Amino acid sequence: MDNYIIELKDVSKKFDDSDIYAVEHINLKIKKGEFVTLLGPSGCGKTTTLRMIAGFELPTSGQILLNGKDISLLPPYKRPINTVFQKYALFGHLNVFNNIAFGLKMKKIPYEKKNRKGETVTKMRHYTKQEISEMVKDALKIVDLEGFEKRDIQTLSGGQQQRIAIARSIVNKPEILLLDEPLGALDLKMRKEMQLELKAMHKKLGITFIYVTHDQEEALTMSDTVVVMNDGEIQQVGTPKGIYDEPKNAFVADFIGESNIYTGTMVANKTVRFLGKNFKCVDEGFELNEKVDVVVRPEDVILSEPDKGKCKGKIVSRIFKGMHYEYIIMVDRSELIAQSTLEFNQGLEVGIDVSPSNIQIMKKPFTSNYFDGYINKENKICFAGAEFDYDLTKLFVGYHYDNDGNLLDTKNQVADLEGRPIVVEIPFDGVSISDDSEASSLHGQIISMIYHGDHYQVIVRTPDEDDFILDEQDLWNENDNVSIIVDPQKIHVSLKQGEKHV
Amino acid sequence: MVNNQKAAKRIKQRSLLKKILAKVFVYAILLIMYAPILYLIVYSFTSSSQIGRWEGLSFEPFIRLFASNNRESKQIWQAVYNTVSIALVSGVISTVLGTTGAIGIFYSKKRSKNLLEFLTQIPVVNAEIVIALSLTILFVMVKAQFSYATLVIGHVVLTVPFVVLSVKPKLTQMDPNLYEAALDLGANQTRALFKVVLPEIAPGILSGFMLAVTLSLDDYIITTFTKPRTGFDTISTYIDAVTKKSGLPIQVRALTTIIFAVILIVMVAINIRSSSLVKRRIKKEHEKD
Repeated sequence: MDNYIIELKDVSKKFDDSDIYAVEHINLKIKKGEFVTLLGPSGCGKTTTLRMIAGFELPTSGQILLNGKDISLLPPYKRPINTVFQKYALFGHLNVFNNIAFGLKMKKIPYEKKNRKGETVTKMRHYTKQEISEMVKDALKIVDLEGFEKRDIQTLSGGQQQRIAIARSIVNKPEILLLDEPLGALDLKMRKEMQLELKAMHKKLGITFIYVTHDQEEALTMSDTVVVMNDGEIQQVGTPKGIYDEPKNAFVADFIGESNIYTGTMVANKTVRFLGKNFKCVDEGFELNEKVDVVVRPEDVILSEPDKGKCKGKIVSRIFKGMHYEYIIMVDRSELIAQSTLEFNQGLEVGIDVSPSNIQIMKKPFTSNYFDGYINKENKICFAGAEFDYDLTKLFVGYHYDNDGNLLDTKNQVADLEGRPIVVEIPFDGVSISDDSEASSLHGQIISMIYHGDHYQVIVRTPDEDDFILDEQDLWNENDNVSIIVDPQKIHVSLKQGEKHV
Repeated sequence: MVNNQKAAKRIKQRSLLKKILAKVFVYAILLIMYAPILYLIVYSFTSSSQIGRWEGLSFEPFIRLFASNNRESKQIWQAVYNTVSIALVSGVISTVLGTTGAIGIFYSKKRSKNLLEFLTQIPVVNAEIVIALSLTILFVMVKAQFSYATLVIGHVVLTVPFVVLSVKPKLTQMDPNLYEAALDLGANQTRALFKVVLPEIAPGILSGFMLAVTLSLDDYIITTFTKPRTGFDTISTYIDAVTKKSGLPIQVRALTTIIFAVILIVMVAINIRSSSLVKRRIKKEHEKD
């Protein structure tokens, strides 16, 4: 027992009516008393994860441990966990008092009693009316709504309903309080206020909070630990500062705060080349000439006189932000966002530098597209739900096509290659997308777009869950449906490992 | 200039004409709808044995209806009692079955949900005579005596789909998190159902019950087919029987007037209540601001 109150072990969830995993192989440990935020864009699986902890959804596989005990299949009413719902879910037919007292009335507590033989036995009883009314009063005090007992739910404002929902949960003294975007329905000012109050409440009550939000600022302000999720997987777990300063990959860097993301090359140990210049950096463990993602936060860009910086750029836009100016600078064809308290005029040339510790280098998650495929009856190659012509003589030495287009093997027999597994590689520049649905038989939906200084790295997902990654100049929207055009010249096919070349 | 004024005048006249025509149309429809009832009400205040012959103002039909020693009146009151009792008993049964059914359908998996919804909707559009005949054949086949019970079964079959139809939208409108919140706060499924889901959909259940009772009250076809073969009548089968044998007893006219008056009072009361509820809610909203 490592003092972890809740532990997710390789948890996956697939809904009955869908082929896609909402949550995939999640491992997470949460310490007692922590304020943990699950952060990610909508549809990333954060709410599903929360609902599995609450017991509203059962994991398809994996285990959820509470204080070391498996609770994966326990119904919600048997878990010492309470939830604050996004739309409050208050009971409209009950007044404030009865809403808060709902959980208390359900609960039975043990008490000791002497039986006829004089032995002490432990029995269960409900709370008395007086105990309940005192606890409700205390809970209302915590959420600053004393004296609201008799009010109807419909007469309360959104913020007040939110507080009642919180009171209704914490009155049960749960071991864990789950909050599913609880501030989403409030206006900005109210939200900021409640953020601070929730944080204070967490300190006072000592209950473990698991908070779900898509608002990165909210996550950074409130949490001890942030869990960044995307696409059903955990991207990074860390303190707010850790995640901001050392994002693990381009997605996290892009999602948390503003950032400049470039494709760079490791030209030497601790030296990375991007924006056309070599920069010293502190990250190690990369191979020579390895392509990497480079992240530079706007506030870490040092602006100076044109000849004093490492490289030069031209200011194309300047916005006054109160504490600082935000500049957009063109360095050759790449865009750079910089924040500085210094004032430069628009159109001016400036020198640009970044100190080594502020250059964050990340391994590229993908450098090319790889697909598993096979050869079909017509000697075409099939992958990602489409088929392509391919010169199979490149793959099988000594094979050739006859005049009728039949593939003959080394003994001049018609070759039977049907079902032979292959691996297909297509570099990013071999794939393009179009909004003309006739342009290709392959279609997909854009699931991610990350700006890399002078282009976007786009991930397109087909209905069969195959991902195509490509570089794109134009701005598209996430969730756009597009045709995926593959350049047949750029397709590279190899036999699956373990398959013999004939 | 003069021309313009003339045109304006003409347009005015035309729009006035339109207004008058619209009103005439509405009142004509209302008249057609209510004339027969008014006619019956008027003739319940005369003692003539035939409708259409006015023999001077008289409360004879009412007096005879409430006379304790009148054989016909006794039959009429027995029929009224039977009608109301069938309506209430079948209404309660349908409401329980329909509500549990609607909840069951609502929480079942997508594919079976669509099928079940379809199956419950067919009886709504199905011709009543088909239900009546098939029930009769079924009862004969299982050699069931036609009795109060078969009659209740007939009315339940008739009204259950309507209860399902009036409960279902309330379930769809309900915040799905409410049920989950109840579970979350320690209520097991049964308690969550009774403490949260049922109170939340209560208006739908109530209107389903009212609908079932109303449908049962004035049902004729299923009643004639499934009621006991002798000595049992509801208002509709009684009136049918006596009009076939002899003329309509004058008490029936008084009874229909009373029924109409009761329904009118109930409707007015409901309308006043709901509008005052709306007013109170608006007032509350104002207080909130």
